[in-house]
Amino acid sequence: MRISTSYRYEYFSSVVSQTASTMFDAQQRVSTGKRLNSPSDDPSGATFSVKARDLRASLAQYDSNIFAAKQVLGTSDNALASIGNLLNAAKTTALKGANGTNSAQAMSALAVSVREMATNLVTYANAQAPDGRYVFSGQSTDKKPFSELNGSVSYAGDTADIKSEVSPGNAIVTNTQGSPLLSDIYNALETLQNKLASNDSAAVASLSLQAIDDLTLRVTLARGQIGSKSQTVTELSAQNRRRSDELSTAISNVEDVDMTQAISDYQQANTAYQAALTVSSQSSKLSLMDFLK
Amino acid sequence: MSSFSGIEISTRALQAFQHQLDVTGHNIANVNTPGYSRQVVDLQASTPELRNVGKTFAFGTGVDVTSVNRIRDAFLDARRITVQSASAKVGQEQIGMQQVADSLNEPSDNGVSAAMTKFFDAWSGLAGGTGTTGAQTKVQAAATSLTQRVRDLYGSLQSQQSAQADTVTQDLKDLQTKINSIDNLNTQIRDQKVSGAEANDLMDKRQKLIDEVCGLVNVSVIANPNGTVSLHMGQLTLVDEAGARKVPTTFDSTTGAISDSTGTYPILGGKIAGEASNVQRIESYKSDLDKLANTLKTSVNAVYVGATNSAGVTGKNFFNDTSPQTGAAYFSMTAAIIADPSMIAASTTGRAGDGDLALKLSGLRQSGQASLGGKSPVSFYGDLVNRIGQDAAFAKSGNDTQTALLQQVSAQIQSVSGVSLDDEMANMLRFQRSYQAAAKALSMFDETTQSLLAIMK
Repeated sequence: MRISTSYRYEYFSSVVSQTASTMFDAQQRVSTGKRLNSPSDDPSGATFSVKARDLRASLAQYDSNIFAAKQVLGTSDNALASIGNLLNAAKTTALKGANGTNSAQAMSALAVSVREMATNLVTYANAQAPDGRYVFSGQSTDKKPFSELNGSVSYAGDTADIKSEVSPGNAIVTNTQGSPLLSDIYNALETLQNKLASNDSAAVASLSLQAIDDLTLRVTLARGQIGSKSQTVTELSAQNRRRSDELSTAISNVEDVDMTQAISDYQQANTAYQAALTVSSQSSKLSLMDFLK
Repeated sequence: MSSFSGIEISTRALQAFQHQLDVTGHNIANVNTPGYSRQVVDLQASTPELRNVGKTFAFGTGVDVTSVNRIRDAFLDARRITVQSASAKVGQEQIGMQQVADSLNEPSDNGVSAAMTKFFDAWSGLAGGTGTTGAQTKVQAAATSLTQRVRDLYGSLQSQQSAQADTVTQDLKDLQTKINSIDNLNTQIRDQKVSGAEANDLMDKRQKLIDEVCGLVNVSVIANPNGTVSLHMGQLTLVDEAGARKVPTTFDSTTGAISDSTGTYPILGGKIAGEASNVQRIESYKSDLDKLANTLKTSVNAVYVGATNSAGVTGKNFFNDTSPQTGAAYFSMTAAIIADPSMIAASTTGRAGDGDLALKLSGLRQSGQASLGGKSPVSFYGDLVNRIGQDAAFAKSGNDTQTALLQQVSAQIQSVSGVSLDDEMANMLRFQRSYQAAAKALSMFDETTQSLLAIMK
């Protein structure tokens, strides 16, 4: 093929600019660590990445939902544990009162301690999560659920469940219904106190002991439920994290460069560029003019 | 037979070699001129003279210059015309589509998809943390950034689209100018041909203009016997022996055709066709983005309208739905929610801890929407990103192929028509030596004649 002078220079400049652009691309991949800088670099990879990033972000949100749920579950559990202890103390008191050998004075002292317990119960039943929400008032988390007036308790909450999304398409109930359980405990304590105050040891023995045992069982059951929910969300959280790590790896596989490959590509491109420059400068020095004197 | 015929032969030879040296100089002078074709002087032995020296012999009378020709391959010119149009089209598509793909900002945390994810996440967070103002503010912030990014992307598509359409108008003006120049050159070339000479340099100039016209639109070129060329774009005559035509200036971006009172002419090749295809593609991306915005608006509002907020207000929209402002360009929240995040409701009951509606809204993330062809919003947008990416990647590979083809043809044309300084140097040496020899012969004939004249003294 006959090579015209301008074609020779055009060719040199196109080869040099082509190799320079390849080298620049390789350099960019090394310095940014990204192989996917625009959807056009890998359209299906970009789509995968868009969807995987969506899923990963939602997993992070589930994790933060789980964190909030755990606080509610923890607050509820702590409160119910205190209430369980309180029921144990009430039972000890009731056993003492059922004995029938107590003086009237001793019985009224027992009644005063039960009164104290009822007041504490209301405090526990109005437990608030760290963010200030009442945990035993159903969905009415902004309302103080239990208030005591003249020996009876009133409930201001509702009996609806609060659901929280903890994994894709999966919502669990995070709250424990305070009513009627806590009202029942209050009423049982109130009855016990009344019987003790009226020195009716027979009634204490026949009514209150059994009632307290039943209530303790209900509290234990409620705590069991909270415990299994806590376990579920902890497992889900680990699962979400694992899934999120997998997604990060997959996203990185699509978006990020393999450094070894990228650096070797860069070196290759660099060599090609140098070769193009060398050849261009060497051969453009050649001309018939140099040989004609 | 004349005693001076030798001198005459030498003189003509000197003249011929002088012409060759001149043409070599012209070639060297134009080594960097784009579109220039190298020229050669065609020589032939002049008509022999019959001399009777006992017998009749034919004696040579030297050399004649028959013509000065440009070296050109008509087949390669024709091939280049097709490749040029195709290459310019995909080249323009590549630039346009790459810009669109880059403007998506995907995959990253700064694109529409990330904003959409955060939006649904914020509802999920509101369901899990109802009654806290932080969760409501998060929903407001996420919706603000979602609506903002959708509007920005739409605006960016819009401006890229109108930039492409504006370029079409410019390019049509450019086309008219070039056609007028071709007509001008046609006239000059025809006139010069009548006088018997090839208008080499004018033809190079015209060829370059034809190449440029092919870069703008699809063209078929016909060479007429009188030296002029006719250019047609499909059914539309651009220029012929009768002169340049007025190019229609009404451009329809949806069909990619130009039209005037005489008819409608589709543009199938060249930069303008690429611009038209970009305009059409961007239109379809815009319509997808409209669909997405409208679906988000309608599906979120359909759930949200049943919500009751903490102030007991119910029956409100979340996204602004004031007709006729629909589509991605007007995607925004209602004024009440922009003004106060605590107005955001999470439930039908309005209870502080109830997040049933927020949960439903978060669930929209996964639910397929009929208006999105059964896809979920995130998946629909992911597919749009894929489509734009594919279009850009396809344009890029098409451009690479066509550029390589064009380079090949150009190299072939250059190989035939381009000036090589080495060639010219060798020729110059040859013509110089020939000239020196002819001069020597002339001086020899002169001496011979001198001796003859000396006898006559």
